[in-house]
Amino acid sequence: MIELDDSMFEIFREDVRHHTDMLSQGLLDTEANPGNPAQVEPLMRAAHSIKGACRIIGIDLGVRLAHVMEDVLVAAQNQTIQLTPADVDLLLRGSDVLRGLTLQTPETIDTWEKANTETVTRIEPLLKQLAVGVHTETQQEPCSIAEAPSTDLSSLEHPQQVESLASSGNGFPPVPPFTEISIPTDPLVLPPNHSMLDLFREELRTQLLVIKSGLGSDYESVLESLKQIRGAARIVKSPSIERVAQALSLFISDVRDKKAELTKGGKDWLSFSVSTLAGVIGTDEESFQNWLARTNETLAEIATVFERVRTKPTQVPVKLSSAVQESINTRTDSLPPPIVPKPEATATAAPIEAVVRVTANSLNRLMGLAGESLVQARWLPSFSNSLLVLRKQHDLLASLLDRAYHAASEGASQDSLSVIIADARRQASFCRSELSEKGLTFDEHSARAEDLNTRLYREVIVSRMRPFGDGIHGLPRLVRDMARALEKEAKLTVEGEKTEVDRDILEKLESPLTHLVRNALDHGIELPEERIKAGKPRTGTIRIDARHRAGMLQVTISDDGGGVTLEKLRRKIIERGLNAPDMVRKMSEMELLEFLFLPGFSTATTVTEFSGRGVGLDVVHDTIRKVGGSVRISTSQGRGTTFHLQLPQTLSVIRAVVVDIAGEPYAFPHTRIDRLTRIHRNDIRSLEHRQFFNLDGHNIGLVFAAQLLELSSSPVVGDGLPVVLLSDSSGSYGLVVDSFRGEQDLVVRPLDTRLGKVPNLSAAAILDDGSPVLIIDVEDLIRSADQFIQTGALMRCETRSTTSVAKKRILVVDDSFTVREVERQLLVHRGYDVSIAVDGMEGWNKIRSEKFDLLISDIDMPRMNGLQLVSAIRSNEKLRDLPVVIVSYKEREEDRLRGLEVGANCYLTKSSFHDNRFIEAVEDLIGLA
Amino acid sequence: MSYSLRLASSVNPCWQQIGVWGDRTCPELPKVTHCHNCPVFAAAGRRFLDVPSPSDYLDEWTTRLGTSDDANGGEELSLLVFRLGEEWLALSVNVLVEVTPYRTPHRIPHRGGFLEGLINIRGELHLCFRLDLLLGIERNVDKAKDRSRLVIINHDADRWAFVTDDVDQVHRLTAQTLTTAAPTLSRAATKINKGVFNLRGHSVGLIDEVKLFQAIREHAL
Repeated sequence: MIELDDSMFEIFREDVRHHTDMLSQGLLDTEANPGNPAQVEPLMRAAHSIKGACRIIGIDLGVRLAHVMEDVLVAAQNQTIQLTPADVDLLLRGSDVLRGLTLQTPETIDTWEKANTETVTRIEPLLKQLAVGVHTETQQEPCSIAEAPSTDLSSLEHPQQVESLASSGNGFPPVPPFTEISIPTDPLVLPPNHSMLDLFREELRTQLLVIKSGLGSDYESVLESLKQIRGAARIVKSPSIERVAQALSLFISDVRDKKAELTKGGKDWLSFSVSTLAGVIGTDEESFQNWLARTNETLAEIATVFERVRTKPTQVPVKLSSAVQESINTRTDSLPPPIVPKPEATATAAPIEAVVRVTANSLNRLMGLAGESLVQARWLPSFSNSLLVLRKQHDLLASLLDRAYHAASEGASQDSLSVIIADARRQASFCRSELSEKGLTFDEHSARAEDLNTRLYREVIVSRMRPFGDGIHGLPRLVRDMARALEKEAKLTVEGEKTEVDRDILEKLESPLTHLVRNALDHGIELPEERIKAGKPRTGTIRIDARHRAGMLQVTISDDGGGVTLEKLRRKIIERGLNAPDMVRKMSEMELLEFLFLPGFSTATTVTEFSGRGVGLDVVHDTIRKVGGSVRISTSQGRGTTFHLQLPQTLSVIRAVVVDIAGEPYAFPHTRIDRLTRIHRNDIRSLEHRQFFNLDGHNIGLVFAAQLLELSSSPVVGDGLPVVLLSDSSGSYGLVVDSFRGEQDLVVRPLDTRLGKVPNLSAAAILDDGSPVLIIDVEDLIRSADQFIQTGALMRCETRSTTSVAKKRILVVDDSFTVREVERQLLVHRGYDVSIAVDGMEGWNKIRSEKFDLLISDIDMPRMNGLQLVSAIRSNEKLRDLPVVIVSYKEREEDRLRGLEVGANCYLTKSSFHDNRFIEAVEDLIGLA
Repeated sequence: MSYSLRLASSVNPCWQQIGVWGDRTCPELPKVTHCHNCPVFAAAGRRFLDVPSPSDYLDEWTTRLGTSDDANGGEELSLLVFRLGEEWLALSVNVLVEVTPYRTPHRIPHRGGFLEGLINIRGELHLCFRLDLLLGIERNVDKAKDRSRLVIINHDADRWAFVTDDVDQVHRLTAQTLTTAAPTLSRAATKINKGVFNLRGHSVGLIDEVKLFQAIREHAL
């Protein structure tokens, strides 16, 4: 293989992906309408391109395979042969093998070649024969063919995958590689002044030993130990360890209740968890935090795995005969790989900078817009210059007015005055017209700039779009293969393949769509005989429709199958005790169908009984919700079921509500908050040290946002507390924030990868004023809130209004030490924050550089006297309104008047220290400290 | 310099004889007021700029730039000098990206300590760390910010920002002038200190950029 740089390889992968998509899509079309050479031609070219690409990169195996495939397709195009479904299977299999290349990196190509040599050697002669007209034997089980390549794929990609396929149904992903850490059997030596953490480590050591020995036999003691760990983790405030312990104990109690054996995957994951947790034992105060930071993700993963395994128990449809059932199982496990790259695969490919296809047209438009925006930016300096001219005109006006003033004060004649004033008026009107003209120009410019920038931004968004059809290449194949295995007949029609969809959304859509189509086929479409009996065409139709509607992307997946029987659904809900019988009877169709989205509602037996949906619909629901969309079902018995998915057009912009928490902006995705409200302090109730308030008859727990985020903040002031209401399936919370800022569109940026996963945050963005804002991960936040409430570590909201804690600051300026001290002490005694200056000049400097609420000044001082200081303050734009008190020995009335004339708010004599007049005057002016 | 750029001899510098730098007897002078406005002067200037450079010009500059500064004491360092609290520090310009006006970083919840927060620089979000804490320097965080600057540094695509109280300028320095750090420096600071040099009476600590990035990785994340 030749030396390649990563971007070259990325282009190769993109190329192969494109052409294999074309191959598998085209082959299906050919199968549906055989005998159209024009249809085969692009396929031939696709195979040819793959061959060429493989040759450049130097993958001989790929060249060989693509070559024979091309031969077959050439023969088909020349109509020397007719492709039978079995032939198509063979070609599809070849295409699958080639598709495997898209998951490789330059380093793994050798492994790919090794793993696939056997397959290729097997199908190569078959294809060669086919090219000369010897058809593939029809007996060749399509099922085994479809299965083989994907097993190949997974085995070469990640060896463990085979194992999990083998133990299909236990639901565990492969365990990451780890070494078992031995747990010391001797008690740890605790330092004399041991901390909480030391105790936790010792506790963990004992309990982990118990768990390790008890696994597989003594579930009770394991559960007890996990409970201890959970409690201990809560004390040392480590929610991630707590969550793992929680997930493990739920999983184990499940296993115990069902009296089931632990599967291999389960055992592996358990010992992986124990080993991971054992890492804590060797840490100390300092390295524990590091360990936590390092291991946080692993812990989260462990917890997620166990939680997921628990909520999604084995989902095996029962109605089908065991043979078909088995084939479905392998199928459902093996089918997705061609379209969904495994996470591991993407992880290995991560260091390569992704190459994105952008159309040349789009790039040209971007260039144009970017150039234009530069031109507009350059217009600004020249505009600013033209404003200088206007300023000169204004100066002229000012000097005319001065002249008029002087002339008037010198008692100039009426005539000469009116001449000057006429001049001034002319000048003023000139200035005004000039100004309005400039304003007009500027308005025009700003309108143009806004338009341009909006276009630029839209164009960038559009360049991220891909046609909807790109995301569903795997589906026709899925429908074909699955229908054959289920002995059903079905076809897939897609409308709106050209609809433009954001790349990210399209990626996220793949798995829900696959899920829904598989569902429709499995549970919706009836067997051909039943369909004919029901007076429907033999072949069932699954329709996917994608279109833009009201600024959202709307995708519907409908089938013409049996539909959901609402009566059976009702019975099921009552049986499961999910709602009271008389309530269920009153429920509308919509409300009933909502139950299908409940996690765990669709356990094996129930699903197929009401000929209905259910398998993992909660997962579909969650996925769609996570990207800010919604799912709705409508059904009509005997005529089919439709799923309506509504998704945002792009993930890169979200509508968000911006609030202040601990003095800094945070954003909540608009779709994830229930409501914003203000509650009065008096409405807060308290029970068992938990605070809640009543809203529309529901009690909602109150949590401080700043506390959840571990930010120090001053208590919220005022009587109306701003509260953000959040909820998930487990309950709702009221989050107390500092203040609401408003609603805004935010361009989402991922958090710096160096930070890892920051609890409670999902992303960052930039506000209109250019300051960064963090976007809250609402699910995470609700989980944290839950934990806080459970541990009872909640900060309480003061039910009476508190005043601002910042003290009022006063500047005392006096050249006499004694006077300064007397004043300072009097004021400090009253709770004010006092700063001093020894003369007017220092006072003047201080008052401009720091913020004060009041100035107290003497009159006779060196450098700058009090009167000068006060008049300087009064003529300063910023300080004009600062309250000023003059305290002087000068007791004469004219001194007092002069003080008040320059702008002091109050003139006191130094005798005022002896009674309360001084303090009273201060309090009158700025209030209590 | 030994070479000289001479005007082509054919040009008569009339502006030095009868023009504003001469006896001002040029008949054109009343019309153009000053030789700068005279087409003759402009044409001479144009010709001056168009003259091909003398043959030894290139050689001379090559030699000049090619000679190492051994006379000055060998290797020269370009260092950005800045102030943190009361301490003056220097960092090699090799890792310097830019110095920008101060803006308040947005704190990141659950990540306190050495990480100060996020800042926006032309639409890109950068992580900001506390160099003062990393070096154990006392600094009044709430003080007036008018001289404060943000310094952005980058090393192998590892990009960070930190707040300084004042940025002086880039100074050139020869390696010899560096002395080893004073033992009075705090332990944390000595770990990433390369040496000390004197600048206008301040003693400036030179930060070892490789160790700095290591330290950030270890402590800030």
